[in-house]
Amino acid sequence: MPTFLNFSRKNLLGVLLTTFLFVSLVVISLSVNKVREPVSRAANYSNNASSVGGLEVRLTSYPPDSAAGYPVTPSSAGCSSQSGSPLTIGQHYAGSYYYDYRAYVKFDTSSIPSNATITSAVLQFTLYSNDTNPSFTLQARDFNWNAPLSCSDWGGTTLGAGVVGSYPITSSSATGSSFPFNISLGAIKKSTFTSFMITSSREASQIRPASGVPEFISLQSPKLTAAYSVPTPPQPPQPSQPSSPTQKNTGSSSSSGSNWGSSSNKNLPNTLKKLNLKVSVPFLLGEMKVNIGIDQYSKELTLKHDETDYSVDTSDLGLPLNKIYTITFSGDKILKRKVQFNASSAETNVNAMELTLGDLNSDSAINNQDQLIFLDSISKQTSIGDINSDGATNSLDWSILLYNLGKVGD
Amino acid sequence: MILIKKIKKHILKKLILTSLIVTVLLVSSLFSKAAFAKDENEIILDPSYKELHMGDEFKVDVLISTKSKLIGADVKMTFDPTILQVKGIDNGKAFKLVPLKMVKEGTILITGLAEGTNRFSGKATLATIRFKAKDAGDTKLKIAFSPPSTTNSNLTMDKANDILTKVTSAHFVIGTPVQRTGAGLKKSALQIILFLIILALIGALIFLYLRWRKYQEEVQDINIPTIPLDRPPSP
Repeated sequence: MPTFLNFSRKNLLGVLLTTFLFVSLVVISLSVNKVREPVSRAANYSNNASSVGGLEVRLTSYPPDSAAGYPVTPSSAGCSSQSGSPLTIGQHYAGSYYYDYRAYVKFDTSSIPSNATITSAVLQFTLYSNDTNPSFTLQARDFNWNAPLSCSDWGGTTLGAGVVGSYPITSSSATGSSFPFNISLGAIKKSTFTSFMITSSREASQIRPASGVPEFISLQSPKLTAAYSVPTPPQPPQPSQPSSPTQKNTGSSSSSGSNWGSSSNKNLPNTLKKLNLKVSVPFLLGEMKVNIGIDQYSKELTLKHDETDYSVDTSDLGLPLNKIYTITFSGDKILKRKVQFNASSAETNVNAMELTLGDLNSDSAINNQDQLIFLDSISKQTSIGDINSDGATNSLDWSILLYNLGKVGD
Repeated sequence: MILIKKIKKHILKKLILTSLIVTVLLVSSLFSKAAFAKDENEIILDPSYKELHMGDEFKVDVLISTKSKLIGADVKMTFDPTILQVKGIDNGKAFKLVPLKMVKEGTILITGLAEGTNRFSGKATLATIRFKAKDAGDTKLKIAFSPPSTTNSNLTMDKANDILTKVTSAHFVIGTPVQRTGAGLKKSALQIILFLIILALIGALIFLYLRWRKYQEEVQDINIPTIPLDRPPSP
């Protein structure tokens, strides 16, 4: 009997503990649901740079000497511009000349409404090559430049443009790796273009580059991602849900299609609920992620080699029916493709046809630059050149690149 | 006389006819053989067999043979780095671009690419690998090929079409039989030691088990009286 009693006490303690845990879980899950209650809609901006360029200034003295004609006319100091990526940033000293390299990127953020409130902004690059011996900080500066880039866009010796984001670069930073870093929210320009100048902190501090020691890096695939909220447009009153004044980002988009926006629009009548996409990627052997954007919304979609039909839940977006929309496909290795469709019914079919592989620098053209990037990738066996996503960078990818050479994006 | 002439003429006619038929048959068989011979798209290692001394340096040609027009070729090879050492890889004549010549942990990767509209067809060297026989042994230089995988060796045509059908690997025998046996023992020394340790452990376990069995038997042999000896027997 005493043994039984002891055993029973232990059991009682176990039951009490389990009950406490269960109740706690229920309370936590309820509170989480309450937090997640739809009060707003999502809005994301995510895009590759619409224009890129680089400038190289050759100097006879360091720090730059105005007596040598610098910085009044950079061209007289030996300025040359580079178009397209990879973008070179940093310094170099060779042959009794000092070289400064700056990069310039521009993003089309005109889709962000003027009344939007930016809630987060991230700039991302992929390290194409790393030739820095001493470490430096990569600086993104809020700087408006004119495309096409010219030497008059250099930006001054003392770098008056403010730093809006930075990222540390060391000699061990791995090529092929992508690195995102936060950008000051005020740097994102609404309803127009957002431009940055990318510089080296060593150049900003006017530290003289050592002879024969390269202190520069090359970057490619600039991408800007921003989240913002905008006032909700007037909508029919919902009996079950209170109206919300703004829409807010709910996080990064995923391939499930469930978090384009908040669920507050799910039951809105006369809106687009579902998009049935027909899209194929010739030569794709594995999987690849592409960014698809409709209106001001964007999300990631995973495309597979043996699939052509994809279903996207758009019920959260509150897109009115009987309106023409443009859906944009973009990604690291594909040409940008835009397809217009008429949202004639709640479930609309869109035939996006084929996406073209081979645009390795995301400049919306498959050209010699992509060939150079591929050759560098195959020699170093990085994944940038794995165009067909089969897990190897080899002659099959080269074949795809040559097949699509000369094609341009929308 | 006339009869003999007629017979001779008849025999001659028959001979000519027979020889004609034989010729036609021979030619047709040759043509059919040529027609049915399979056009292999092949990667060949040359030489495919070689006997060497320790310390020898030698070259292996990586050849491509095809009748199709190639845009590129990938060759992935595996070798035993304890026996062979790669001293270098030289470009061949098959492709102008050979951007990938990588040696890593017993694997060699070579890729040749055609430029612009140029395409390769025929038989030529993709690359020449310079080896050193650093230790004795019987070893193979194998070409990785497992269709339909696209990640090992490929002969690539336009539109990313891999047409590789056959590979020929190479076999090298390095050192005298005594040297090879010695090298083999040296390599398997660790395995032998491990085997002996495991054997000793098993032996020790068996010994302990037998000792325990013996002890149990001895314990059972002791007669423990059920009647308490510290009290007088109950009536």
